[in-house]
Amino acid sequence: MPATPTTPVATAPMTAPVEVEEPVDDLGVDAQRPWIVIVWNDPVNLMEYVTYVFQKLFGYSREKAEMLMLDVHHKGKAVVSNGPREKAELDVFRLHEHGLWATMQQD
Amino acid sequence: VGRRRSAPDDERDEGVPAWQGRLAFTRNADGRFEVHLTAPAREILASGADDLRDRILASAGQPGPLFPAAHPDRPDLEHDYQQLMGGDLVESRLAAIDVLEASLDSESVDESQLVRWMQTTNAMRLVLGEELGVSEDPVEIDPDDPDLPRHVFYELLGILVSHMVHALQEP
Repeated sequence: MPATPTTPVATAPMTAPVEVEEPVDDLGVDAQRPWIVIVWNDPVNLMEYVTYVFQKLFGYSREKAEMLMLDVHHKGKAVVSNGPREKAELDVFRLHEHGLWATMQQD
Repeated sequence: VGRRRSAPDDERDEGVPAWQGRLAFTRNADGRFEVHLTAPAREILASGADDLRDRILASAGQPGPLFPAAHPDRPDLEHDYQQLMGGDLVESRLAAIDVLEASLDSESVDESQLVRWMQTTNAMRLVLGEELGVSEDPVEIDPDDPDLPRHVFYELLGILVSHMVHALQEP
């Protein structure tokens, strides 16, 4: 037989669950969802150059930078960074400064 | 991602393609980079940089190899992005050219200068590569091809970029 509680259990007022809408701006951008930065393959930028740029801009090890470069080379693209929109925009800008073909999109 | 025409091992300097028998850039003990370029090579870079500036000013940041779209499938977001970053990218490219031109006669440059040299040299290569329609795999160029001098210049720029990367990566 279950024990009978000797003290009343506090209960919260019962309310129906409400679906919370994510904030979306005029361009349909969900401010809560992270962005990813993608580097696309191109026939001009050299392998060692792309590896160096990934190391320099993102602080990646030589091994990780080479792996990403090879993804770009063999698979046509690689996700090289992610984060809030402002960070993704800055990363894309810096990649463009170095001549890499970078785009960004929400994850 | 592109590759240079491969050079035989005995024509390579420490893992990079040969450049007149030596590395084009070497890091000093004080962290600066010695520039081992001949006067003609510096003149070629100066000419290329001047041409690049003209192209940038003429294109006014229009989409192309030097100014890729950040949101190619979303014109609305791309408009916002260009409002925010487009002018800065034009200024950055022009500033990099200025740095290269101002230090082109120097015997040594610091790291930030060499990075600007590399960005500008690579930018020249991007423009030329698109105009020549290069592919990822090196192909033999017909000696009678009227574009042969531009192909040679393209290869030269690739060798220089390789030497710059090599110097910057060395401890």
